[in-house]
Amino acid sequence: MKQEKNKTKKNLFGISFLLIMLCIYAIMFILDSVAFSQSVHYVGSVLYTLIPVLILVFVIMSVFHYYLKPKTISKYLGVGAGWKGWFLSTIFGIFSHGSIYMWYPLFQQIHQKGMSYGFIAVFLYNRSVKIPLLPALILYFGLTYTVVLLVWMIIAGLIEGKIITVILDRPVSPIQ
Amino acid sequence: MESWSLKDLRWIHHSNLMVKKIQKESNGRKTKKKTQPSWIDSFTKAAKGIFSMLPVIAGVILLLGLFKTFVTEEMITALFRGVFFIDGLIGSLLGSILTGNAITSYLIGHELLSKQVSLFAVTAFMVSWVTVGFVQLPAEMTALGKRFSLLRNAVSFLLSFVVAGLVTFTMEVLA
Repeated sequence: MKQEKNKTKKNLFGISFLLIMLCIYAIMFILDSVAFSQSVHYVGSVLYTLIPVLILVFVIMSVFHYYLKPKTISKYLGVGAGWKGWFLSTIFGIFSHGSIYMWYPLFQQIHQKGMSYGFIAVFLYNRSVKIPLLPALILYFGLTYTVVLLVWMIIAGLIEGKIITVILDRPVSPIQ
Repeated sequence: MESWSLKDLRWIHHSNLMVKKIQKESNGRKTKKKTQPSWIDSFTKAAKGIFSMLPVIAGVILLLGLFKTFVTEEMITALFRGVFFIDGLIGSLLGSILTGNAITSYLIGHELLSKQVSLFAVTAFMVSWVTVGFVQLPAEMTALGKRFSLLRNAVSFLLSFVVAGLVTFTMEVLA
């Protein structure tokens, strides 16, 4: 009952947020049509790149639903999964791609199946390590800077995960 | 009255046991089927998860469009004052508010460096650009909850400052 209420609240929030944005765009269309067309053009380009990622996320979510059981997720990515969890979430984070918000629905569902908040945080932090963009980073800032930055960012991701685990993740009771 | 022989009783007992065994096996199969969802169930659940997030995601993309149009590189560069820690803080704050492809942050970072903004401020800016997301916060809160999203973004914001300090220090040591 409480979960359903929360879901409706979340849906209402999402719809009202979208409506506010659409209203701003409508006002912009009346006041500044050049800015409006620039924004719409950018939104179009984002959507164009987003669709393949959306399909990928949909497929991953379906496969996860079919094969992964809460017990398996708890074992590898749940509270107390140990080094395996830290390692897997870091690697998945580094190699994932696409916009960050496309991954939210997937994590919403995996968290419900038992993935700890700490590992979600590690994944999201390590998404900032962009392998395809490394040549650009090296080009602008040099190889040494790139390596130093990436090493500290991976360490920072693990620290963030640990902090969030300590604050938000409750250890599984041995009685359960 | 018909009397039962020992052989009959044994036969009845044995068949009862067999029936119980078959029932147990079929129950086991039923529960096994229940725990393993079908592909259609999996697709439906995945689609539901994505569709419930679509309004927020669409809102965030529209907000990104506004940022892209109204916030220019010149506006960002003009904000830095030349004071080491304050520039770092401005870098972290700007990186948290602004968003977009990481390559844009590299371009702006490179531009800032050429205008004598410190490496510390530029690193803080680039790290918070990719790790903190005020614009994506509504979507994150909807999916993963208020507490997690606010905490994650706050910790990422502080860490952008720490990472910038450590990167600058390491670069100085290596130089």
